[in-house]
Amino acid sequence: MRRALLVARSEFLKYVTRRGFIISLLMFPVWVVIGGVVPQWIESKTPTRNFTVVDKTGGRFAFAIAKAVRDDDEIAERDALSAFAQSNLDLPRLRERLPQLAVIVDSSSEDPETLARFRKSGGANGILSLAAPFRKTDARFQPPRPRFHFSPPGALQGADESRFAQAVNDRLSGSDPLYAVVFIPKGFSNAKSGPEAEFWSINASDPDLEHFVRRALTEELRRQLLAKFAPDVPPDTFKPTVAMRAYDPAASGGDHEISLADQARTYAPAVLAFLLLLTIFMNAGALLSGVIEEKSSRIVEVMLSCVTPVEFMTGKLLGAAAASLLTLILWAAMLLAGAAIFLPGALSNFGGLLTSIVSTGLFPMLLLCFVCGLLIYASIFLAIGSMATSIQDAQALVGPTMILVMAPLIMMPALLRDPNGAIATVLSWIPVYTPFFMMFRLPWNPPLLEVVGATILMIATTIVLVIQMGRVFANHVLTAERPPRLSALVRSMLRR
Amino acid sequence: MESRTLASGIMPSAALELSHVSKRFGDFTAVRDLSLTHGEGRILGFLGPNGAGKTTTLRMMLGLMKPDGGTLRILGKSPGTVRDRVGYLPEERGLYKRMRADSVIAYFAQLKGLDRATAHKRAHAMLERFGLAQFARVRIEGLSKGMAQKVAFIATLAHDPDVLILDEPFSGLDPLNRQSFEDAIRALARDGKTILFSTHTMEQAERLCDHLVILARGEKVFDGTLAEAHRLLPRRARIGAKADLGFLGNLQGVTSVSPPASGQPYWDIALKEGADGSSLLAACFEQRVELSHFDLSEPSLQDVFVSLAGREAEAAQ
Repeated sequence: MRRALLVARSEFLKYVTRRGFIISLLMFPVWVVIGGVVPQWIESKTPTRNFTVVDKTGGRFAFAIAKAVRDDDEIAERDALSAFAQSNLDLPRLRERLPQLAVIVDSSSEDPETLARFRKSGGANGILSLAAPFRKTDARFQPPRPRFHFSPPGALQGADESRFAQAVNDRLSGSDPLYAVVFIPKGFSNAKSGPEAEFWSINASDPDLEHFVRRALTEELRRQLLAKFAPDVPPDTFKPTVAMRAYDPAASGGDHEISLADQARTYAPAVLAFLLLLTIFMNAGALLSGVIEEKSSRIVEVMLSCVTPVEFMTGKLLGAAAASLLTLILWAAMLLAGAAIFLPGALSNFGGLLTSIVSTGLFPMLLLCFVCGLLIYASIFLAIGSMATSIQDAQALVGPTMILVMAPLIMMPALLRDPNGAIATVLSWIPVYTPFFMMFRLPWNPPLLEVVGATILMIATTIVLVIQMGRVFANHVLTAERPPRLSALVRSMLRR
Repeated sequence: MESRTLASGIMPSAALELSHVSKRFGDFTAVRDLSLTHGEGRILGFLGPNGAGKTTTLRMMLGLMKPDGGTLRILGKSPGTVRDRVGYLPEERGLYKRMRADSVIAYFAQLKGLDRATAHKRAHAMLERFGLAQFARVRIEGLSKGMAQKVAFIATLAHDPDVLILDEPFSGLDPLNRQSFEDAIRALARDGKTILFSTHTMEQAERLCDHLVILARGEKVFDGTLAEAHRLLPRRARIGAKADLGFLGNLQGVTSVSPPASGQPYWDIALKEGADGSSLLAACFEQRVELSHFDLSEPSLQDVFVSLAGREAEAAQ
């Protein structure tokens, strides 16, 4: 074992001093930043879509759409204010002193009451001037760019039906072009085939505005029907907003409500399973090229004159596993450091979430699954490397193996729908996938018998596969022949 | 097939013993019924053309491969159990390119059983001894081929092995480095180390080895001392004369007389083992032959090798 550990130490140092390792390590925070910032940046760079409505019904629907645009602006502004308040206002004190104002910042925009209060308080500027004594910083509030702008239809409203298409085209492609024109025909609400409006645009790829207009028209129709059939009832009576709170008898809080920590504990294994795949992809190349280099430069002969093939392969596996675990630890540390620098307010939450994940009873099991998964796949790649004499040889074997490794990703939607369903259960019993799927399913409380059985299967698979791949490794690592046929491969797995 | 055993009198205790060893790869027999014994503190030259089975035999001696038949004993034990007492230098250096010279030496020494501190101490001391102290912290990829070969040699020796197996240790070395390697190998043998090295360079084998084994097509075709190898081929005399020297064929110690080949000025006379060349001179004077040239030479190891390996190649055809 001493020799295996010496090999592991050397392999570990080789991995962590590789340029590729450092780059992969640094790429992770870059991905996080790209994933978090780029969508917001794209949204901020999307220009306000200017449109008009030609309403042949008398203008009620055009008015309703214009009102929806105004509401949309206010919702966006309130949401931006809420985000601004997290870092720039002393919220605990505000909640204590001015609870009526604080509730506007704290509540959801989906609640019509919130929006009414927001409007009544003078919008973001009015609320911020009232909350001036609670400002922590001098940062300036920047209201978001409106998504849509409603323009008057102008000459389009009276355009002749036969020349309407040409008139619309002129407005969509002129010097100050509109993004879209909505046409609401006469008798829109009474049409026998159901209400149908026209959406004219030369940007068919972006459905945002079309969906927005459809929702606004549907809402206006609902209001009109309500006014017709129940004129005494206030229009918003039948527009209740249902708030859903999630509970779980196993949740950590005393009232069983699912907290952020509970959600983190539920999704952390899925994230870990994804990271398992990521580290496998990261290490596969290094494992393969390492063995091929050792073969081609005859280092492998020197190594095997010092250690047994089993010690050599065990050392390599342990080195790769240690490097992968270090990767995870460093990524977590980077996230924490990033949070400490850029989101100091969120650091305690983030640290708490990590603590809640690590302190859960699932953690040792997750770690076991992760290590077993890593050892299973790493031993397969080592065996492939031992059979290849060049990277080109290895590529021919790596292709099918990668498909094997990626199969869990294809099954992800089925698993998310029903983590303890038939598909998930069957997949959990396929030995090479057991670590991945068990890791994924653990938070959904699979039957105890299944957990115990799958754990035994997983450990046994790891041991058997490492031994078998060790045999393949020992039998092929000294040969300079091309990769063997499948039958020869099976024979070498069975040969001692 | 002619095979000879070491006949040099007292045999020191055997460091390497191979008895009827065979190794096959599918239908191909790489080593066939190979037996040899090599004593401690001696240098064994392992010679043979490409594909003769040298590398396979070395790998079996190192415990990297198991023989299909026969037994191997290194220092009286099976190869896998004496790894720490054996040092191995492959032809292509066998070093991790991105490791530093001192680290790679210490790493292999630790794998061979030394503790970390001793391994590093030994690595630095040996780098100093071989004149590479200033390159201790340089990566292998930054060293010249000769320096890297020296580092590989040091890595082979750092754990103070009893048996050294060197596969083409001189390849890629300049004459000065080659000389220093030869001196080091001789010094190791004087210290009682058992050395086996495979080579294609016959001159080195002649200079260094006191025991030679020649393999051809997986079989041993010679096993003996350099003197015994020389005796495998007749001594030859070359005589320059205008007269017909065919009469020399009647002398007792002469095997054959060949007239000058086209473009060659000399007659070629093959002598029997132990025959003295002076009888040739006496016979020529007696016949009043005017001589322009006379020399008497031992066959070189190269001649022996070509003769033995060539004979095998011809037999194969």
